[in-house]
Formats: sequence, structure tokens, C-alpha cells
Amino acid sequence: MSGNAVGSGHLSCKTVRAVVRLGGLVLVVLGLAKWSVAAGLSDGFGPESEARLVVWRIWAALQGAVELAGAAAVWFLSPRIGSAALVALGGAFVLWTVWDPPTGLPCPCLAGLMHGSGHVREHSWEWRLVLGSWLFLMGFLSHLALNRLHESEP
Amino acid sequence: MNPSRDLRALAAGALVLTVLLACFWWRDLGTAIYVGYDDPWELLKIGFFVRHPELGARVWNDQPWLHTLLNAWLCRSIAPGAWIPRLFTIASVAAMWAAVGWMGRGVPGALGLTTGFLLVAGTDTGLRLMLSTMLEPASMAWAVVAAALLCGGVAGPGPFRAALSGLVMAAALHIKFTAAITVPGMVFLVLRRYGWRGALRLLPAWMTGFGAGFVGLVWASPSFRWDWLLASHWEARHGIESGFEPPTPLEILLQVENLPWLLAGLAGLAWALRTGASPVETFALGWLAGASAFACVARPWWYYYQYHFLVPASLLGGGFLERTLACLGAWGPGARTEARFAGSHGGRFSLPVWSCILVPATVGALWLGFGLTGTLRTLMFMGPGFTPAQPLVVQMLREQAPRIRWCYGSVEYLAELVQAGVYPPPELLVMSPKRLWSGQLNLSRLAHILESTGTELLLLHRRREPADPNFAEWLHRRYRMWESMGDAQIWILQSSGASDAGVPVHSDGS
Repeated sequence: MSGNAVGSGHLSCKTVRAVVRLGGLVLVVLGLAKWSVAAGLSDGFGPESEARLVVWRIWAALQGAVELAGAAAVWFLSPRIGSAALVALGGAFVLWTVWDPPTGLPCPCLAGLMHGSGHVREHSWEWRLVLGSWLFLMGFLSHLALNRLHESEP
Repeated sequence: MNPSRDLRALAAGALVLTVLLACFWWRDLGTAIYVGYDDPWELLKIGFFVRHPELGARVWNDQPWLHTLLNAWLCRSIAPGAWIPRLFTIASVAAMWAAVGWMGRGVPGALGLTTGFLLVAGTDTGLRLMLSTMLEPASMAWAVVAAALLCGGVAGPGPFRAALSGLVMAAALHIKFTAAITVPGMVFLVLRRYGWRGALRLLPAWMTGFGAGFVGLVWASPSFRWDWLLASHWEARHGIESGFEPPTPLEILLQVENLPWLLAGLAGLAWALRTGASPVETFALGWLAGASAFACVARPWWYYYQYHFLVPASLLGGGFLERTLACLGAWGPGARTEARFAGSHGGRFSLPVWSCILVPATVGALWLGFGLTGTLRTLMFMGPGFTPAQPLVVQMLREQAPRIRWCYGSVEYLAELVQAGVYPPPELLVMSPKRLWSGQLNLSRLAHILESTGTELLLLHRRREPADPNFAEWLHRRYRMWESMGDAQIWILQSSGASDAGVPVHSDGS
């Protein structure tokens, strides 16, 4: 049997860690993209008015910081904490997308990532939901896998 | 027999039936003319047959008759309306999912079947077809039922069940020949379950049922001509009008909204090939092979043909996702103890951890982002109010309906004809583009038929028939334009009883 199958012990735990880190890698990309927007390296397709653009960039920088912090937790702490971080950040993404805050707060969730693809730009709401739920499910299923491995250990 | 597994199969069908009926009532689809792509087409045929059952022999038809005859009979017996063929499709689809559950004998289980159905319903095409009056979903559904009758349940079939399976397969083919793409699945499944000898033992009874059913339905059909049923489709590929470049199957399949079922299906396919396929997976693999062969030869490959891949791939995907969740201990009372059974070779294989996490997470996220939201959007734009028919044109046709016998419409205006309750002469009831592309009809022959049948009213798209100079010349001699709205032109036979009183003739009319 292959070493990374469910229930085969130590190697499987490493695989779960690798999968969780893949989620972390996505967070790094998201965070860096937002910082690049915040630094003005890219316009990020944000609002046109100058005042709102400033608020938007600050908000993008904050979100980017949270995502990079989440990525750091995923990479450097235990897989359990990493999966919890993915669940928390993914859940927040989904909630934000579905709730769509009426307070006028901008949501630069895909900031910096929309240049390359017209499809992502046209369907940004759907892609935000995909991204958020992917992070959430990656964290949740990794958590289940860790529980399962823990149970099957002698 | 295992009653709990049979009940589970029935539950799968009941769940599908409940969901589709809920959509049916929520969006008031009983009176909607347009849900599936070719709905007006099928409704026109059924409506025609309700009114003129004696004229069937004159109808040119490139599809078998069973769907039209059955629904027309139901409409005459109960009450006419789009709700009968629509409910027929829904019942057929529910029967298909129950049949899959019965065929699988517990694999996939309830979650796998539900997930498979959600993957199908999470696409615009899948949802539309399952709520439509089109031939595709019903024909596929009864072909699956035929396969399940042959290979479902714990006990093998006796001669009666084998004959019944043949009869149902004949009926499926008489709804639409495309149901034949499931036949490789049935053959694989029979060979897997009974071997060559067992299959040969079943063959006489199955062939008896099939032969009796097929010949009986040919006899009951108003017409059955191979040059219409097959040659028109085959020859059409050579005569596709210039400027019309249909997308290839790959272009249609590789759309973002299809990613959930494509990914799940590929994972299920890899899993089935690696570990040995379960009965439902075997059937789905054969179905995919049939669909692939059909995609290689069918031109144009219409947009809704993706249903041929959608259902079997979703069956594979649903089963795979169920296994991943079982391996993670997230599903089923026995999930934790069964987690390592996964393959069908005595528990030799388990799923790799990464696939247990990555595949369901990716499929689930894509389904939430594009499947669920797309489904809701599709549903919100379904209903009696969402019809391509132009209300003013419908109103004008209705005014004329009592005074005319026939009304011919360009292919763009079938919904208007259905809604107004007016019908073309039988020879022109089915005017698929393939009829023109195959050369089985041309505009001079069309003019001849219109003249010989004394068709009083024409509803033409200005870029279709009137764009041809010869047809236009004939048109101006025989008809006068009554009204022109956008691209639509209504023409009245000069010597007919149809009246244009009170309606100004358009300035560019003759």
C-alpha cells in the first residue's frame, strides 16, 4: 500500500501537513497580491475616487497582513493550528462574500489577481466564494484527516 | 433481496423527485413554454398531435415518435398543457436515479447518489434538461432503467425481467436513438456481473423483449423512415450552412461551470480504473465510452449534448466523493470501520490522504461558487414569464387562430406558435436546421408545400426565408405582409379568410 494512504501513520501526517501548506501557499499569494496593490504597484481595479482609493488600499494592506499571518501559522505551527487557520480565514472570506457588508467597506478579496483573467473579473463574486470555501474545506477536511490518523495510531 | 438497499434506491429516486417537483412548483413550470433548449419544438409536436392525431403520416420527423405520441395521449386523456411532458421528464429522471441506486446495491450509497445528483443539477444544462420537455433526459433515463432491470438487485433476472429490460430499452430508443450511447455501459455491466455464458443465457429473453417492443413501437408510429431518422442527421454534417461554426465538444465541455463535475468525474474515473470499478462505475465507464464515440461523429454537437457526459461523470464523481468522506470518517455510521475497504478488491487499496482532502475541497468550492449560484440563477430566470415569444406577435396570431388552419413559422418563432396555439401544416411541423442542411428540404420545396396546403399565415424571420430572392419573389406574389416587428414578419395568404382588418399594413409590405 502506498505510504500516504489514510491510516498508514506517520507518513500520512506529513501528507496532511503538505496539503495544509498548499492552502497556506494560496494565502501567501493572496496576501502578497494585496500588498502589491496597497503599495500602488498595481491598481487592482479598485474604486476611482482618490479618497476611497486610499481607504481601499489600507483595507487591502490589512487583509493582506491577516492572510500572510495566517499563512505563517499554517507553515510554521502544527497542522492542527494550520487547519484551524484555514477554516477561520476561509469562513471569513465566505461570510464576507455572502454577507456583502452594507457599511460600504470595500472587499479587495481578489485584489491584484484580476488582471490576468477577464473571467475572474467578470465573475469576481463567484471566484471569491470559490476561494473562501476552498480554504474553509481544505482546513475542515484536513482537520478530519488528522483526527482519523490520530484514531488509527496504535 | 436486501430490503434496506432497495429502500435506499427508492429513497434516491424520491429525493430527486422531491427536489425537481419543488422547482416545478416554485417556478410554476407547468405553464412555462421555454425551459429546455428545444422545449417549444417538442411542445409544438405534442400540441399538433393533440389537435390532429390523424395527420401523423404526413409529418416529416427526424426523431422517433414515442415521446410525442405518449404525451399527446396523456394530454388528450387528462388535460393539454406543458405540465404533462414536463412531469413525464421529471418522473423519468427520478426513475433513473432510483435505478442507479438499485443497480449499485449500496455503492454508491445515499451520499454518493445525492452528490452525483447535485453535480448534475449544479449545471445550467443539467437542471434545464431535467425540468424540460426534451427527449434527451427521458431517453437516457429509461435506458438506465433498462440496464438496472438486467443487472440490478441481488438476485439475477429471470426471463421475464430480462424481457422487460429489452422492452424498456426499445422504448428508450423510440424516445431518442441517442439513448444507444448507454448500451456499452449495459454490455460492460452484464459481462462483469454474469460473464459471457451468463450474458448469452439472458440474451434470448432480452432480445425477445427488445424485438417485440421495437417492432411494436415501429408499428404504432405514424412513420418510421431511416432516411429521416438517421440519414438526415448524418447528411446534415456535410451541408452545414456557411458562417455557422458550431463549437466543438471540447469547447463546450471545458467551461468553468462544468469544472465541478469534470474534476469529480476524472477523480472517480482514475479511482475506478485503479481499483476495479463497482457496478455503477462499470456502467458509467461504458456510458462515457458511448458518449465519446458519439461526440466524435455527431456534427453539429449541440450544446445540450454535454448531458451525455454530465450524468455518467457525476455518477463516478458522486461515488468518489462519498468514498473520500468515508475514508475521513465524516460520513455514514460505519464510515470509520469501513474506511479502508475503499476498493473492490478486498480492501487492498485505500485513498491517498491528499486526494481525500484536495478533491472534495476543490469540487465542493467550485460547486458552491459556480454550481449552486448558477443553479439558483437559472431557476430565477425560469417560469411562464421567461419565454422568447414576443407577446404582440402571440396576440396577433391568436386573433387569427379561429380563421386559419395552418400557420408556418421560422425556426426562431416556434414559441410564438405554441403560445398562440397555431400549427404549421404537418409536412412542415418539424423544421430542424438539419432538414435543410441535409438537403431533404429546400426553399422551393418549402414554397411548394405552403402553396399546396394553403397555409394562410406565415411568421418569418426576415433573415431566413425572405432573404432568399426566389422565395421572396414567390412570397410577394402569394402573400401580403400584415405586420413587421423587428426581425419578425407576418404574412397573410392573399386569397385566405384571414383578416388584417383594423391593422395597418406595414409600409414595406407588398
